[in-house]
Amino acid sequence: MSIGVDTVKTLNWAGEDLVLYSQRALYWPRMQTLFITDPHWGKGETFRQSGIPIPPGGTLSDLARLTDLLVTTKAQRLIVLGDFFHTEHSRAPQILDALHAWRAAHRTLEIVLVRGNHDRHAGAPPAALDITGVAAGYAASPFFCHHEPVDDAAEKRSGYILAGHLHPVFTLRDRDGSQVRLPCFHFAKRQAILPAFASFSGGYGVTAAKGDRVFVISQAFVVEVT
Amino acid sequence: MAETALFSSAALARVEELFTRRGWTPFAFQRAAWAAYAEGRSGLIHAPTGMGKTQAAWLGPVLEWLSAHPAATQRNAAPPLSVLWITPLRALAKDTTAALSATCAALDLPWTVELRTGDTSSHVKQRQRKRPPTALVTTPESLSLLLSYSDTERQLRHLRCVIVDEWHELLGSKRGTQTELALARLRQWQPNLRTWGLSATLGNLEQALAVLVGVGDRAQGMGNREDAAQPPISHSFYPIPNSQYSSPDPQSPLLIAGDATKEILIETLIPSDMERFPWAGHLGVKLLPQVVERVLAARSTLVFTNTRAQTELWFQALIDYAVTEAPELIGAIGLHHGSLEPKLRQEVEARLADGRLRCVVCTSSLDLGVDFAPVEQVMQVGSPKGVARLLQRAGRSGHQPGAVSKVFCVPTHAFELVEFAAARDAMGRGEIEARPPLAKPLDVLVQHLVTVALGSGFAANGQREWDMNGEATAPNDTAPNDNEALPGQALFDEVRTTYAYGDLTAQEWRWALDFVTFGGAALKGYREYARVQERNGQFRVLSPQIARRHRMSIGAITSDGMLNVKFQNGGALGAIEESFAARLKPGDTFIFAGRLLEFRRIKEMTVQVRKATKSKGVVPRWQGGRMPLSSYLADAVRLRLATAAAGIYDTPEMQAVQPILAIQQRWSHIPAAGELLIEAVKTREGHHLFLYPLAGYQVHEGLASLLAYRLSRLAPRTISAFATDYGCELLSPTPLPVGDEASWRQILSPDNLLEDILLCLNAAEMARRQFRDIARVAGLIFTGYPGSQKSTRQLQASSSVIYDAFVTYDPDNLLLEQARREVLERQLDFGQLRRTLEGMAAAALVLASPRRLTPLAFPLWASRLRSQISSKSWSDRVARMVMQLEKAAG
Repeated sequence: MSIGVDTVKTLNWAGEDLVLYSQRALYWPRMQTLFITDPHWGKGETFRQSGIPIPPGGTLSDLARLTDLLVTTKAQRLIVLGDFFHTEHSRAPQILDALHAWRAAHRTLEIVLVRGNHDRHAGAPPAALDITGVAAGYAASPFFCHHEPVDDAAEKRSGYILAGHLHPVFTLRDRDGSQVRLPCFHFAKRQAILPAFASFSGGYGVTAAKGDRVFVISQAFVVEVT
Repeated sequence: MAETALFSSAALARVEELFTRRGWTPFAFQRAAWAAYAEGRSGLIHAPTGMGKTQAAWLGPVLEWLSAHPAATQRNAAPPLSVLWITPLRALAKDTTAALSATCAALDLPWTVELRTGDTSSHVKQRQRKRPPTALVTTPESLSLLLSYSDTERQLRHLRCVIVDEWHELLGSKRGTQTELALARLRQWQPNLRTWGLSATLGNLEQALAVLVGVGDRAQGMGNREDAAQPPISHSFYPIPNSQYSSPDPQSPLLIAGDATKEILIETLIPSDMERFPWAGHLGVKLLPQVVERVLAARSTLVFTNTRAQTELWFQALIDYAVTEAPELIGAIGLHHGSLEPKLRQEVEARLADGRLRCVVCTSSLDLGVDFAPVEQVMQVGSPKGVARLLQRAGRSGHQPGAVSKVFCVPTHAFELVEFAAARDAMGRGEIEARPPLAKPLDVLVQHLVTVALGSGFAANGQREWDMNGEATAPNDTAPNDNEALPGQALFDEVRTTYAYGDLTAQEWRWALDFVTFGGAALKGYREYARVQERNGQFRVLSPQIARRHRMSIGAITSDGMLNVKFQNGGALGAIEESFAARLKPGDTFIFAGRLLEFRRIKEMTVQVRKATKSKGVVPRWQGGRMPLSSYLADAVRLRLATAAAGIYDTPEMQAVQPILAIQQRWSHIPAAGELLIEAVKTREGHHLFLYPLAGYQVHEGLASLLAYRLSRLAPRTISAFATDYGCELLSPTPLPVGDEASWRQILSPDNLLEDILLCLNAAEMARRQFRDIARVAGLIFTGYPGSQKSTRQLQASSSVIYDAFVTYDPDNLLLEQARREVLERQLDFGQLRRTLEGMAAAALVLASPRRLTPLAFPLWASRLRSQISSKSWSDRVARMVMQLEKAAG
């Protein structure tokens, strides 16, 4: 296993230079576009309203992380690859207030939401947030933006796909048998799966095929595992 | 029959007549138990399995009822629910129900006995709530579940007695604590309730009794923890003079010992050609022919192993062998372990009972058992790990009163021969392990609070305050004051009558109550949160969704990250651990439920498989499969080695292992009493240090990490550490900076132990793993409704993710503290580690530098290797090493 430690990682994919941030985001400098997926805003609210006492603070700190990313990258466009709210119960006043305040601080940012499975039940973001909802397959040439990864081989051949949904994680094993699961970016030949933006989220183990590249992230680094 | 004078003579005659009809005579301890029950006492009956404990407890309430209803026959109407029988295993519940029913029928009683467990269908449960049986056989989880229904108090208004079977199995676990809390509730409803426990032999029977009966009503100053820890009357295990069955205090609970006439014999199958260097974890199938020979000689045999994985392996080996060497056993060998589908287990139990199976390979899932299951002989494969455990397993054979219980021990490596000899020694000396109960686990308390709120509800304001002022005042949030009632004071008092929560503080109580009402300090003032709510002076659960979810998760204490294994057409086989399933790739084969299966995919929490076409597969490993050697048995092993050091080899096991110990003596040393042996060996791998404190795996694991940490602090280097039940190994590519006694004394010092341990172990990571269990019990993880997992996915989060959220946003949460404490106490056994280090500080050090791995070192080295590399190359490499060492030993 070769490891190089960095807080960001740059790679060329589909002929474009991309920057992988340890804050769970992908930046495309040429188009000044930041990609995130699966923010699941207000997930803790859903739990709390159902009597599961998850302490609050997750959504606010995730929003602060997003602000950091926007400030660092100076992105003009944000593309969210689905699952904006966790459920309809997530649209609690304190969450909406936080989102509106955040939006007010980034007035000029163009925001696109590729609708995901959670968005179908949780509903679209409030109009005042000024977010353009689009269907899967949204083109940001040479990329096609999806929520759920694409299985169809023909569709995969037609372009380069960015997707979320899976919350990919990769398990690192130490020699003493201990292991740690970390969120990761999973770049296959024609499709890249981004890590879930929500910090209060689990993950689905990545099975990397030959030639795939996997970048695990921790609070302060992006590391490629091969 | 002076001692049972409180029962009518007609009732006693009816029971005597039943015994006579079955060719038995009541044992003195059975009569003693009935007499004590008649006096209104509670008690704990302890005896090896098969001694008639069941009837000793069951006939007390039966005799009492018969004395009041002398003319009753089966044609009378069934009496109301009077007896609860709690059993730890669902598998046992069925047999127990049948046994109790049979007794009632034979006595011509109108009593009905029914079963209620997680497997009971909902329409049966509904009928039971409408028309309860006279006696209900149930599990701790199902009992808790009963408490979550508001009409249960009314249902149980005629309850006279609770009998807790296999109490030793519950004691020391959260299920035991759950039972304590439920019993406190029942006593609150029925102050004259009698509680009887049945237990195997334990080292802490008096404490076990105190836990069972509780510590009395604290609010009224009756009884306290100190008194309760030592009940006034107790009997030593062997032997009991009958005259001592009565106690001067008519109220005090009794400890009653079963007659000790049952003899237990330990016989070891001695390998005919002793391998010279066997290693830990070896299958030990070399002894298959001898095992099969024994199986053929008996009508029925239980082959106990230590892990589910070993059970699967032995089952495969036995059926393979039977095909060519013992065709009469084809189809007559069964497999039984806790991860199998209940249906498959029940089938095996039934086929064993009716004689179709002659041999069942099993784990502790069949350790327990109803007294009448017919097993002629018992075998133990591999280390018994503990004296009580071997005693319990041996007790599964020779059930006829007066018969000898015999256990054949099957070693899987040479040093297990020493362990068998040591176990026999310890048993002879009456050194039996204790099972310490848990001290106030808050996750279980949190679950109980929701259960009670959901059932009858509990008073929000302190009763005392109400009495004093005539009206309730708002609970005060300031520092607790002794004179001031707490919110939920009445339930607080009730909870504190349990042994587990006897010293629960007002602060901990407030925290637990806050946690279920507000969601904890971090959520205070968060209005949408509503698990338990206050309504009209009562804490209640109002949301039907929360009620439903809580009931679903009450029973979740035992399941642990398991995925169901099913054929694609739907046939269910059982469950394997998520972590094992996650490593499988489509097409991989594994052995499970006695079948070779091909992994297809994981879909909706289910592992889909089909029959494999290949002929080899891996065996899943289940966490917790690793059971450490008990400290009693470890002590006995140390004594055995010391005896060998003195040249005494006086049992067949020790004689068999003598050539190996002779090599140990020649190359290095055999540690005598009061000695600690340390071996430094150089191999191609690097510089090894082997220490043999013989204190059990858990302690050695902590010790190994501690030593590695302290050594690397002296001079930075990479040190690998590894542990087994016998000792630990440290390995470094460069020489380790210890040579003389002074440097060792420094490294082994008990000073700064806690600080060093927390630094060297990844304590945070361990706490995170420990939190999984806590989160499930406290209702933070919801695993979904059966059959409808999808609808609740949005409420599912892994314990690890929740742990992170707590650490970040609610770091003072007491459940985090509990996770850390459980790591220290239960995973590391910190107390034992400290005692071991103190013992080592007092021991004479023997520093040896053998030229190669010694017989004591080899098992350590081999099991380390096994944990690192795949099994195939492991056995090749070990075989190569064995040949080299055998050549050297000449």
